Amino acid sequence: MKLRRALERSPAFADFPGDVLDLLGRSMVLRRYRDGQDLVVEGDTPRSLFLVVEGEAEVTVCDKATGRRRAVARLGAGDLFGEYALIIGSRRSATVSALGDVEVAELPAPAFTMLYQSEAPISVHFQLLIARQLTRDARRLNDMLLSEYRELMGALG
Amino acid sequence: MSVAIPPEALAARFPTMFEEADPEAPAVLLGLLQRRAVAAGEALLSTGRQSSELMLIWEGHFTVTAGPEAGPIELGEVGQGDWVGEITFIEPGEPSADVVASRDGVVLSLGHGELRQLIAEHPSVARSLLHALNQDLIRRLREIDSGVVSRFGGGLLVADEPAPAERRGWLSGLWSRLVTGGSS
Repeated sequence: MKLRRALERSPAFADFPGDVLDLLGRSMVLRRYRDGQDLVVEGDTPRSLFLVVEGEAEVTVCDKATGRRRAVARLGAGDLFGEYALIIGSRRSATVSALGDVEVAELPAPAFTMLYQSEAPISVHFQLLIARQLTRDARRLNDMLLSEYRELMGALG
Repeated sequence: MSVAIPPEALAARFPTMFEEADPEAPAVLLGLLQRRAVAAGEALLSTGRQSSELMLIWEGHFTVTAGPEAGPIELGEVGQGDWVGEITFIEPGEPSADVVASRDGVVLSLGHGELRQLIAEHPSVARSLLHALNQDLIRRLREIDSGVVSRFGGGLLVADEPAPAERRGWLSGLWSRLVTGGSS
């Protein structure tokens, strides 16, 4: 019940039909992580998609210029993460660590792949979910490039 | 107004969109696509103007630019067989680039409302359309993501910092791959 409520509350699954949420709920596993514990580690092979059910987590990346970890985002209840590396087949691009105790629902990679690539009509909802995430990533990357470009043009006078 | 184009011709003009598609996808989409003639100099997409349409370029050439008003940067060209507007088709909003016809052309457009209709009435066609758009975006993001930038914001993390003199070209190259898929 807790997982089903978390899925209903998450904006990512806002327009998913009830039967698809039921299927997701049966495919996901609830896990708790303690303060400071890593949920995913930058460079690792992805094994799951995550939905934050309770608590918060911090996203950090290794700044290649300094070698230090840099906090770049904070995730809370309803946030989805980890799908990107699963879709594009890359390694994890960031580390996500628990800020205090955090509870997440994990969808294992094989179940994710089955839902995402399935020919079944319900997979259209997963395709839309991923399409939205990809468009947000593209927008964010575009904003970053625009910001860098403005900075560069300012520096060049 | 539906489009008087045979389904096979649509599939042949946009092969990457239909190569893994449901067999009925071209005919179903043709029933929803709107044909639009575009005159040279006309804008298909403009930054600062809301958009929600996917536009398949049937004929013509279009120049893509982005960046600040004071110094926009030309990112490349798109033409027959390409598509634009997929970001705002999925999530309506302001486009990230200006797309202007460099000569007369024809586009076939599909609105966000039709996407909702497709999902409700033809889920397998909607699935294959979204799959094609996703694969294209994944390819672009993967090329850019290969050790060069972080997707999580807070600025670009550069693996091999280009010299300042090369930085403008490096940025425009990345941007071109993101917005046009590297077409030129």
